[in-house]
Amino acid sequence: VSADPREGGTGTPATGGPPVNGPAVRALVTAAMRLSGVEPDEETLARVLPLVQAALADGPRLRRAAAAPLEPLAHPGRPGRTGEGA
Amino acid sequence: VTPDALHTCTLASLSRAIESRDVSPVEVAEACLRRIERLDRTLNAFITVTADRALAAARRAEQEIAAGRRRGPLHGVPIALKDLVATAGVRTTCGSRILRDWVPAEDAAVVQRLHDAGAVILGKLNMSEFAYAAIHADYGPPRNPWNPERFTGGSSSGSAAAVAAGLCFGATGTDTGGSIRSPAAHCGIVGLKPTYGLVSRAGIVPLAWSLDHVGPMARTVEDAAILLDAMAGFDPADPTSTPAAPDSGARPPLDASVPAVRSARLGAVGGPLADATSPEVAARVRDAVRVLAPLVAAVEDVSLPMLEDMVAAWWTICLVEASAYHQQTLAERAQDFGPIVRERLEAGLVIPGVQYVQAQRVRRAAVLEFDRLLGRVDLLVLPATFAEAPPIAAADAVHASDALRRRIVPMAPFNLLGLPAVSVPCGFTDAGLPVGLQIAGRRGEDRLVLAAAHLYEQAAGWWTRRPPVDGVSQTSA
Repeated sequence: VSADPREGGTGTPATGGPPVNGPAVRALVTAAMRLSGVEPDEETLARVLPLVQAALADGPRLRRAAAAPLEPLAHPGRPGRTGEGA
Repeated sequence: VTPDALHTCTLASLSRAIESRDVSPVEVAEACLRRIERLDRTLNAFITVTADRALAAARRAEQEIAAGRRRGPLHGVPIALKDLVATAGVRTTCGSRILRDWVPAEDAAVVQRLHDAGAVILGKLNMSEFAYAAIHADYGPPRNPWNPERFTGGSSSGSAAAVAAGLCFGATGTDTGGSIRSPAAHCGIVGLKPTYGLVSRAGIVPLAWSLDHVGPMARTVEDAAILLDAMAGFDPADPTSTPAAPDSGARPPLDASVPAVRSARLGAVGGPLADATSPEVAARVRDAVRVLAPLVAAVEDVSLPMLEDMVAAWWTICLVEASAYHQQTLAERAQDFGPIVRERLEAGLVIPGVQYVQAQRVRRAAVLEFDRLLGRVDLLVLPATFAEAPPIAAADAVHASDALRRRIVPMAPFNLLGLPAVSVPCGFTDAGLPVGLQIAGRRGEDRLVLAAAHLYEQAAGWWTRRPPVDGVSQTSA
């Protein structure tokens, strides 16, 4: 089951388990912002939560689409073999 | 050309007039400054006009040219800079309240190169706050010269408006997910996102390091190529900088590359991307492919591989890298960011590190897929934007993050892949708003991309149209 709502998912991780939305995302956002020295208020959370939830929903898609296991990543400071730059 | 008609020149034709001393750089700079004074109260393209510096540079250029020391085609030509390019002694705001009073001590590398080429810099151009696709209320939106009630597109918004309205003859832009090509398309000018690493980013405030590109914006492809010649080159101060090919820009003349274009195979992009394009824009792009077809060896229909995966990877990488850059400022001055940029920066703090790395691995897989695609065809053609410039009155909807995510789809893949991509005007919608044709190619083949765009531009002729900022539509000199 995909967590990607655009694929008809319901926020359930691809591996099963409880949904990553609602209170779970709210807790994650609060902790991450505090770790960065930003104290979230209700208004901020209301704006940020939908964006975070949509971005996190890309996780399963990205995991599935990632390059083959033995394909090395270029150093981010140097163009790769084919010059893509990251 | 009379001073009042100078704005109808292209950069290339002005350059020839300066070289032949039919017009002096001082006359040209003065004419541009008068035009800015007259039109920019409406257009809002400039944040800072550096009139005294421009006139001093124009006088130097005039003396050097008179003494037989012409530096090249940009010598004495007025241009302007997106306001995230550091300029020594001139404030560089990034369209933000955070950097409202920042005066850099040094020029960015690209500014130094433009100074060395003898360009006359008129000032700094309005832009989306920190290039993150939302205009800060302190500056207000630049107006589209084709219709002041419409957006210019962003983030190089002022750059496109100023070039289209003839306030300057070229401009710098930056492009992380379409920020050169989108405003170029919406304002009816040419904008090139070069190959990653071709133009140094040293001294330019980043949005997302691994996606950012610096490139030229101008009225014609030849003009953009002239600017690229001056801007491109290896710079040890940018760790991703690569040596420019000796013929990456305008030299030798683009016409010299026509044989390479004529033997090229063109991939006309269809599939989901075409399905998402508005009918009017799709029709103009189909018309453009029909114009291009007899100019190249073959045209075949293609689909972009991994499109949704690439958009997801771009979004993850952009959110995380932008938040990493602004993390300290966010902790100290969150309230000074505009609400939409703040929302994105705060969201980026939350993305797991593992997701960022997976996005980079997706990027690598996409590079390999595109290597295969571009082994089959030499160039890709597709719309630069899905639709015409939206109304400024719809600002909230236009700037919303979900709208941005849709808007970047035709452009952001080329940032992710580092491939050269240009937007060239390909007609107008029924509302009289410009449409941009995007042409992309293999990395390092900026010149082939430009040559194909040049061939199309000359065959189609849209470049001669000028927006009605003077009360009437005009054509170029």
